[in-house]
Amino acid sequence: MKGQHLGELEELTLITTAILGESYTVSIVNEVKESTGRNLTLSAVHTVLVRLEKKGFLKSFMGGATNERGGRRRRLYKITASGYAAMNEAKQLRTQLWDKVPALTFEFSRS
Amino acid sequence: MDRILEWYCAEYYLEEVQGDLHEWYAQSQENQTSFRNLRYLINIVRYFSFERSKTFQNIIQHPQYLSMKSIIKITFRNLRKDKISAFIRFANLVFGIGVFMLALIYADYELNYDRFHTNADNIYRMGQDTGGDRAWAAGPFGLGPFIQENIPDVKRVARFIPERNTWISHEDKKFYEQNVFYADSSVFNMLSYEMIQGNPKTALKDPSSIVITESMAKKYFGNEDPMGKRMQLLVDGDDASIVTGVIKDVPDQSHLQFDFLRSIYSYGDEEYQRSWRNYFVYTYFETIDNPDFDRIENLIKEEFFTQYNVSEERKEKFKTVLTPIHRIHLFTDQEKDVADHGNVYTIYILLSIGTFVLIISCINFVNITIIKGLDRSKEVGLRKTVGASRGSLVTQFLSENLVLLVLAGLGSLLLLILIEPAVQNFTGKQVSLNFIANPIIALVLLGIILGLELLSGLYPAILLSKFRPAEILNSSEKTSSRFSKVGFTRKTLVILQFSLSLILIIGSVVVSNQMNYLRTKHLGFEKDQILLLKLNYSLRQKVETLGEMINEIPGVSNHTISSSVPGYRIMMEGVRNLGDPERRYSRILIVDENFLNTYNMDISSGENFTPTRNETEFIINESMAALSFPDRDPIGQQLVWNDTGRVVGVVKDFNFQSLHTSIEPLTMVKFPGDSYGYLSIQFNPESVEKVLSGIGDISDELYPNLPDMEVEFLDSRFEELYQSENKLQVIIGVFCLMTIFLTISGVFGVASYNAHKKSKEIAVRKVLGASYPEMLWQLLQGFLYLLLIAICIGLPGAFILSKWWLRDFAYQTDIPVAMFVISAVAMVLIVLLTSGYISSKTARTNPATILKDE
Repeated sequence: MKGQHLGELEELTLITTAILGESYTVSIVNEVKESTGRNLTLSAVHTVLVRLEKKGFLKSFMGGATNERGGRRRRLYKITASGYAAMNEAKQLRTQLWDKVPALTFEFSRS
Repeated sequence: MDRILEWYCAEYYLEEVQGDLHEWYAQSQENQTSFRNLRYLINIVRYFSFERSKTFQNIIQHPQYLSMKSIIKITFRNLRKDKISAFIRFANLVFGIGVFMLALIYADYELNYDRFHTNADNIYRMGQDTGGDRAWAAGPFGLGPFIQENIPDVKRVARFIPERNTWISHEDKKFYEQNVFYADSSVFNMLSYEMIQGNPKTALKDPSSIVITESMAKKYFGNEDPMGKRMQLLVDGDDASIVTGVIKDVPDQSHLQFDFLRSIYSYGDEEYQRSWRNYFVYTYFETIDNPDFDRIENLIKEEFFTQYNVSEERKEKFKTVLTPIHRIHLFTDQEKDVADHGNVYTIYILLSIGTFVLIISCINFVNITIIKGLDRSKEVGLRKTVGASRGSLVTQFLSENLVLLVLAGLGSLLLLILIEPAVQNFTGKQVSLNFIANPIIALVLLGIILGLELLSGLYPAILLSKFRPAEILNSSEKTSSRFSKVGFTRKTLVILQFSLSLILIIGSVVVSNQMNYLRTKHLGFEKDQILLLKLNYSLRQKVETLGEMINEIPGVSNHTISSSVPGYRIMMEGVRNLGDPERRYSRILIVDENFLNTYNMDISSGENFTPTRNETEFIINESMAALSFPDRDPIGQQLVWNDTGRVVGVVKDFNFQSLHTSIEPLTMVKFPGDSYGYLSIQFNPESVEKVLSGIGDISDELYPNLPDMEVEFLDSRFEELYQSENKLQVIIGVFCLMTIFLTISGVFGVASYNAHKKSKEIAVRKVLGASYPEMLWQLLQGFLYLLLIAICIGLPGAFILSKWWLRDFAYQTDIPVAMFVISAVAMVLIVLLTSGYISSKTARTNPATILKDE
């Protein structure tokens, strides 16, 4: 079906959510920064989260508020079964492709 | 800064986004990130996206958006469910709308001839009816100056004289030109022909001036500036003109079509131009607003009476005919007209056919929609049970309709664009069917769609929303009885359709039959072996040598010179018997002694012209003999036309005009002098090529400076006379095919309805042992009955219409009765095959599938 394909950022976000269990924008940005060193912007991640939810890979609910948030609640995202399947599929597709890559032998030319 | 966010962000996201941002800010405070305020702002800006904006959220949460979404979804689901009926419905609408628009656009095009003149409403062409059967478009030369000088209320006058077959050259470029007009210098003030170069006020003042169109400028001068250049003209002598202006090409919607305008002051001297003897000038004048027509007409009449010394008796019959310029193209039928004529009846026919097709296709559309709606009665019931109001159901159905209509509208736009080249080619007119070039189309389409939406959408919508849920959900028996009430209307519509298609089928047969007859009927002379050479001034100079040389060509058996030839206009004038003052109107042909032999005509009494004697002699046809000498033998009688002469022979009546008209009195005169227009060559068809190349050689030899002479075959000239009938034949054929398609869709609709209605009955019968053919018969019966009525209406209708069309021809074929029978049988076959296809499905279905719901 259309939209099943995962983009790079989508995959990253999905996996991070799976790692964290329950995630929200800031936690994902932090986690990604910690594990890969990449600086993501909040808005980009948020867009991806919304999109993933629309595709049914994530589900969301409102979580508790903290002081830092000025008393505002956060929307927590959790991976769904189909989200997990999509993630898995993406991984397998990658593995399959990797299996087809021949072992590279580098030729050094003598000049 | 938070306010920016609050301003754009939809509520749904606001809390979470704001919280996230605050948390991030707190974090960055901890990490001592630099520029954190700026970064905060940047983050807010980056959060901005259309999807998160309030507007977007408002739209997608708006109830109307949601219902529209579901309506569109349901529409497409329904369409997909039954592709054949969806296609038929769609195609019906596309055809219906497309054909209707085509007719409308074409009618609009024709009706707007000469509307581009700024003062079109105040410009008239002066014609007169001297008591003959038709008014004359052309008038005397002196009429123009008279009107200009003596009639109040007239602002300006412009005269035109068309000149065909002129040889024009500039340096090495030489062509025969057909559209050279002489015109008064006032023409550009009165008529809105746009001037690109030159002064419109003075361009035609000088007798040696000539104004040319843009494309002629290109043809003769290429990229050079044509202004002030000399053009050599050969009309009645060797003239040179100076180009004093270039105008845009004459618009297609102008009844005057010219490429060159010469100053009318070069046509004869002052006296000649004021003379009332020269009767070939087209006089146009522009009046002030609300002129006093009675006064204008009376003044002109009186001048005519004094100039021609008209007798009291003829004064009664004399009428002036003022035609508004924008009516000339479509609404006039005058003798000696220059106009490129349209036919207003063609427009009526086209418009009514267009409307018919639209109505029929809408009927089919409605029919099928209702029938498809039956399948949805359960849906309607359920929706009502769940709480849908009738209004919302009507909206639902109307909107579904609208979706289809809009799609069909787009389809018909595409259709029009696709057929544009074909239509332009066929009509020979630059009718623009492309909605981009012709934005009126889009507007008309919008109107049509809205109209159809109301007409064709409301009925099924109301009908379908009417059912009570309990009835529908309970049993379909009662619903059917509700539907049978509308059965009558539907049957009437189907009968109408059948009759119309029958009429069109027969119509196309009758038309092609008549055309065949016209082409093959023997005219009383040989038209297949005649070549025509139009003579102009230069050719006329050496016409005798030309004739002799042509006679030498192997394959040429005879040649003759005459003022006109059959198939072309032959002048009509008064001829009287010697000693009798009464003039009798007759067509006059000035011929030489070879005419009868070249055209292979039969002399019924008397003899041919005497070749050697150099005096005026007449040969008349039988009609003229009956008119002038009803009581005595015409041979040896004296006739007077220009000169007195003896009637030496009577020729059998032959058709010298198209077969629309019966044979008129004709007088052929052998007359010393040269007012010859045509050289006719009788040739042997087997050596056409030799003859043509022979003529080419002679042309080169005799007239080395002129372009090759233009040769025409007489039979193709006669074919041209039936051009509009030929076109009608094509049109009616196309419409015939289309109505057959429409009928098939109509039958499709009704047959599916019947099959649906009777499916249970059939299932039960089958269970009880009825066979498949019996059931099929059961279903087809209804149609036979409708067909019978349709045939009863269609056959007489077709007969009457055929008679009406044929009345235009003096010579008619019999209406072929056998064809009526064959057409009716074909119609029955078409209907039965279609309905049989639909019905067989039902008749074959396993009863269990139908009955399992009970």
